[in-house]
Amino acid sequence: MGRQIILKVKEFTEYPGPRYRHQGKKSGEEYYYEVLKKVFTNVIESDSTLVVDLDGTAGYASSFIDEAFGNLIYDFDYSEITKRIEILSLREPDWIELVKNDIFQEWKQKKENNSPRKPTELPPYKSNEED
Amino acid sequence: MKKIKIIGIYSGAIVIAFIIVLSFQLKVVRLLPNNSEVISIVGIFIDILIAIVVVSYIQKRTENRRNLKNYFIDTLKEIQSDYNLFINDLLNGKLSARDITTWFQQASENINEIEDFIKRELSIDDKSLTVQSRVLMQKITSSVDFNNQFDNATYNPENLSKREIILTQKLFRLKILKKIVSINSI
Repeated sequence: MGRQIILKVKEFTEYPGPRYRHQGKKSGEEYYYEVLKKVFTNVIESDSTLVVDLDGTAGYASSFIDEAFGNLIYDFDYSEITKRIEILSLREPDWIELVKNDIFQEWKQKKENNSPRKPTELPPYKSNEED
Repeated sequence: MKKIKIIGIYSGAIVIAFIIVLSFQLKVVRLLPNNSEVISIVGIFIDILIAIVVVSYIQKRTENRRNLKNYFIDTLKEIQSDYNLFINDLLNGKLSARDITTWFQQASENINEIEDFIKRELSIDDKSLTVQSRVLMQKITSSVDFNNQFDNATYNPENLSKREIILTQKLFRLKILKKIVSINSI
């Protein structure tokens, strides 16, 4: 594998928001679609690895983390995700285990059960360009 | 610390040497008639000296351990008190979603740190407070009402969320008590 790309969440925002975009600013959903998905697509295309650094923000809601990382499971191959992504957090190292052991596993199960990634009664995702 | 130990060893050696010399002097002035009596007297003095050193060392160590235990117990009580205040403010709608995530980040760091210290100093390998705090944080920050009110000035939990928060907080208090008991019992 080639070079290592480092992605700092604090460059997206110092104050991470709620789960979905319609619930508030700087949501986990927005982070996934506007940042993580695009960067990870490049990571795979360039045969690189990705380090996502969670430190430097004012704290996370667990739903932000869940939505930001869980969506990867629906768009990318599970083995590619586990092989290429490393999560870093010196302040709250529990997040690392939580993403690997809980979030990825729950979303994988959801995908295998053909459940939609988002409850159907919620408004669909709208990107910034559509605003 | 190492310097103090070296000074202690040298002082002990000097005292023992002094006792030996003194005993032989007593023999010269014929207060002690033969070598075996000199050796017995020296032996008694050395035994007394060792006993004094061992007792004061153990006493010092026990005191240090008690002080350390008290420090950990006081810190755990402070954590419990901070948690109670925080949950009270949260249930009364005095905090915003951002206040809550920021508070949990700091609390999680503090709890993690104190449990690591307790493990290192008292060999109690138990992360139950870190885990329980994480459970409480997840319960609150993953709820739909919390996320729906994220950009509001304050977060007002719905009744169902309130009940769950109170129950989880009770479990957290129980874990703190258990930790204090286990610190006291070693």
